[in-house]
Amino acid sequence: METYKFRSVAPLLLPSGLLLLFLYILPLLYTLRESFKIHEQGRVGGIPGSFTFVNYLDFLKPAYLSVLSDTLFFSLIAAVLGVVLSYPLSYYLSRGSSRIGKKIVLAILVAMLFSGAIVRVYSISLTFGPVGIFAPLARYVVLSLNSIWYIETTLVVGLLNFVVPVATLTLLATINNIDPRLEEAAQSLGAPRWFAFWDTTLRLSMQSITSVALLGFSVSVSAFIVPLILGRGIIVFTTNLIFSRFAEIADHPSGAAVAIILLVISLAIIGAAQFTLKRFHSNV
Amino acid sequence: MSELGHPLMNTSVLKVLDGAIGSFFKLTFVVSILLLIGPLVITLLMSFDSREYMGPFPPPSFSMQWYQNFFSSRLFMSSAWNSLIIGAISASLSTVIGLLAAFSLSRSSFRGKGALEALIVSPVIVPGVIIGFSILLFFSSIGYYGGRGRLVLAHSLIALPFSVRILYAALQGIPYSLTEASLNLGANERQSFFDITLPLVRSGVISSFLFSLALSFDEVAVSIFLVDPQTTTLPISLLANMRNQFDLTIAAASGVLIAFTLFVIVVADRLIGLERVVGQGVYEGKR
Repeated sequence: METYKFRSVAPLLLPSGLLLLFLYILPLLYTLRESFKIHEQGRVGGIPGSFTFVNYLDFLKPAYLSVLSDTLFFSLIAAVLGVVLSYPLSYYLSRGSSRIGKKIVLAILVAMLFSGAIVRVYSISLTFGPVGIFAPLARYVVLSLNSIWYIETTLVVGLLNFVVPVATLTLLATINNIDPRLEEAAQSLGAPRWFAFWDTTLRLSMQSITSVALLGFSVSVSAFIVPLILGRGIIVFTTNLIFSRFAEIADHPSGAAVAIILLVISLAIIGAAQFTLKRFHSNV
Repeated sequence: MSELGHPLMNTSVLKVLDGAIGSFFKLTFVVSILLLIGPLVITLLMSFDSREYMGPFPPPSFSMQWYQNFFSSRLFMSSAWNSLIIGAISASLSTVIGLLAAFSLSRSSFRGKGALEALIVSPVIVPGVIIGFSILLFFSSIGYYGGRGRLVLAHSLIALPFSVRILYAALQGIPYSLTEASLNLGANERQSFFDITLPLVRSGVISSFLFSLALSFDEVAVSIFLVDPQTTTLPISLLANMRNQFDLTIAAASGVLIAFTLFVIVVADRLIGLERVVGQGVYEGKR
């Protein structure tokens, strides 16, 4: 196959290059610079030419740290529960015997991926809201729909709604690559079904499970509408903090600092996922 | 597997675990399915509620009043129209730009190619809020506020990684011998691209366009920084009205959007097959 040099394909790469430069690289660098500027009350944007670390130091205040810890805590729960709920789905999609059943489950997952985030978040807030199906139940056990426990549950359900489809389709590829005969062989050697599954399929998918959990974690950490609507102002994620810094008080330098912190966290999670994935591939 | 030889292994106590784990699998299976589609089903049913107020589920009888509300709302209609235009332009843009990039990356070798590929797909891992906030800061610093234009460019950027991946995979599926044959028969590079390569990646082009359109039509985290009172998108105007829990117009809007989604899925299934949409667009793309 004839391969071209950079010079001959450069014109074809130019449009994507320009798009990336002006809507991605330069804006991110600008945000980085802005995060070190001094904010002045009543002024949109930081003072030009100023330099300070105060926007980052502000983040160490308990109010901000609790936003970060809420973000990480609920994302962790969503990641772990996401794997627990996704594994049976992908196991069924890979090993299930009913062709129609598998097609239906696959169609549901694809529909979930394509149906809008707005639609899904609204549906959950309606279902779990005062006119939803859980309201009578909650009243029966004398539980307020405004209790923190209920809001937290709704929030995690919302995050799971986004984690499960992605996690299931990713796990599906892993289980598809594990020979089903291993499980059968273990069973024919006298292992009970659960042990055959445990000792072959589950063990072989362990590293993929780790990276899927990290994937779910990063999906949750960058979630925006879910905490905005389902958190009901009680639970605030880092993403919401960035938006409110911009929309409510126009403190751009502080918003930029929070954005940079979130970016570093997201990159660290993805880095960890890549690392486990690489180890997985080198082991197989 | 030394445990297998253990005398405990075959006792009935452990066999009970078979049933327990089997039931656990079935339970989580049912829970996940309910979790995914339960709320959507309830919203669909509620959107046909005939009551004038928001009463508890289930609705006693059905009507189309909330759909009438939605379609007669000037705000929702103008923002839906905006969304369609922005979606169509940005999906075309990301598909064309993505095809050029994917084609050059699949046919070339040069130093730093791996880094360039990584850069092109990297916007996927940056939370949308950060991208939206940064674009807002940067564009206002250079004094550009073109309502729709900014949104179109931003949506093209977030769709680009998916387009490039989908089209790269599609291009890899074409045997190079076909291009070689056309070149041997006297075609020039451009003829070979338009007559051989392009028709063969058609399904990739369609799925890239559909995927980008779906992304744009649903985008919130980036758009929320870039909309202005004159130019808003459907998801943003729905979001702005969502806190107001007094009517079911948004449930009706959800019904319309779900119908739109099903339509796109059926089209995608007919044109290229559901498994391939998943295989190329979603599963590969979401990594």
